[in-house]
Amino acid sequence: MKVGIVGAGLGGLLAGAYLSSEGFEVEIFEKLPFAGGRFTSFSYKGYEVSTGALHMIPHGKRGPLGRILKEIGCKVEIVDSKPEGEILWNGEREMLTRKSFTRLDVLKLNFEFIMNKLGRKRTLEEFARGLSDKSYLYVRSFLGWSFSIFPDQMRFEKIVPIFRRTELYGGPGIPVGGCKAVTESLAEIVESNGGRINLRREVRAIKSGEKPRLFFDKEEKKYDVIISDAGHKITSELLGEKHYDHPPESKGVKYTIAIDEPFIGHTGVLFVLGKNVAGMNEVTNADDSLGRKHMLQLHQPLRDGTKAEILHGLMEIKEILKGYSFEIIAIQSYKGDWPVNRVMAGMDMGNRTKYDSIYVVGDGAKGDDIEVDGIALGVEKVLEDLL
Amino acid sequence: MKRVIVGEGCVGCAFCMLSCRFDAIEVVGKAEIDHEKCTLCRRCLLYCPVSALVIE
Repeated sequence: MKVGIVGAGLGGLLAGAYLSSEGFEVEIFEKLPFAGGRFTSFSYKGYEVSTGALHMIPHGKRGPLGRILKEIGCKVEIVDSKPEGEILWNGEREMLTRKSFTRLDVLKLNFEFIMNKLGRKRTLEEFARGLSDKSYLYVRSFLGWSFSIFPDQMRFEKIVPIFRRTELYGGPGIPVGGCKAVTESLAEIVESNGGRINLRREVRAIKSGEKPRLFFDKEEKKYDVIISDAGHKITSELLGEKHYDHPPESKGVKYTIAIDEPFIGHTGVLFVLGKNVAGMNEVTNADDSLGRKHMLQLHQPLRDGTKAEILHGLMEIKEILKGYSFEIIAIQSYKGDWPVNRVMAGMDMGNRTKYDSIYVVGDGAKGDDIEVDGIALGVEKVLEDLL
Repeated sequence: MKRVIVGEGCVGCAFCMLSCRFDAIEVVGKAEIDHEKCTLCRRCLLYCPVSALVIE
């Protein structure tokens, strides 16, 4: 079976690595000059600046991505975060535990689970507004950090499966070598199984049919199956179907900061409460080769993606890091066709298209989980169909 | 004179800045080219994921 894959992001590489190790003939096409998409890094001024999200896997080595990587023989070590999280609020830091929240708020959460089962439909904003200030602000920061969204953009029921998975797998982990180590290792697996990754090779169109085809500038190629890692919106455009209603993407900005002395000092997440910036991590505490000194990365969800929102975040960062010697290395924002998430969390459209032999993977087609772990679950669904 | 122009499509991902060998690009929400430092090497055009950069 011949499989053509559009895009060498994490979804495309993961599907390619798995299928090539099962004996499929895999060809991957990437328009950019590098593989890894939004899950790799650039070496810049002595720091491994991630291209997309942070150097982090939401459920660490025990989550869906960690499990699949192990299954296909990817040798990347994942350091589970310890502690998982901490809170910064009103200038004070506090470890994140169940005791961080009042009993009344925990009770309200459990009550909402029941009401939700009984059919109550509320957004997370409507729910969390009824909690104490600290709990409300934590919900805001958690959603901003994990999904790059605001509480009014997600319905309560969408958080339920993700909440359960976090209980099952635990918190995040950091891949040694960063995101790049994961995608590089997947690319090696593809190639060692006889698959090919073609860089700077843009797919111009996809045609459905018994043998679906990929079109390039000067040629076309036939496959048994085509998997697109470009999200549903771009994939349907490549298929020539422009009039299609698509759910919104999520926008955000990530700040990469070189800092002489560690600010966080551990491998977990520091959630920032009551600010536009949602949280930060410091992956050099897990792998000091990721930066010349320490590397602090902060994430902020954006409503509109304007420069004003970013300047506001920058002001907050300068205030938070007062007294530290630091330098802002990169400010990267994401929206439109190169967003944080191609489809806003909770609105994913599945992996199928209306054609039997054309699938979509990647962050525009995640399973019920967060970020790269969601991508892994989506890829797994396609594999179930093909294997 | 030819120069690199940043189009409307720029999302601010900074891949151009990170790939530039001449330190000629700054990004805060959108890319800004320092035309004094730019050598028109076209590397940033290749690295832009949304094809927002052109030489005109």
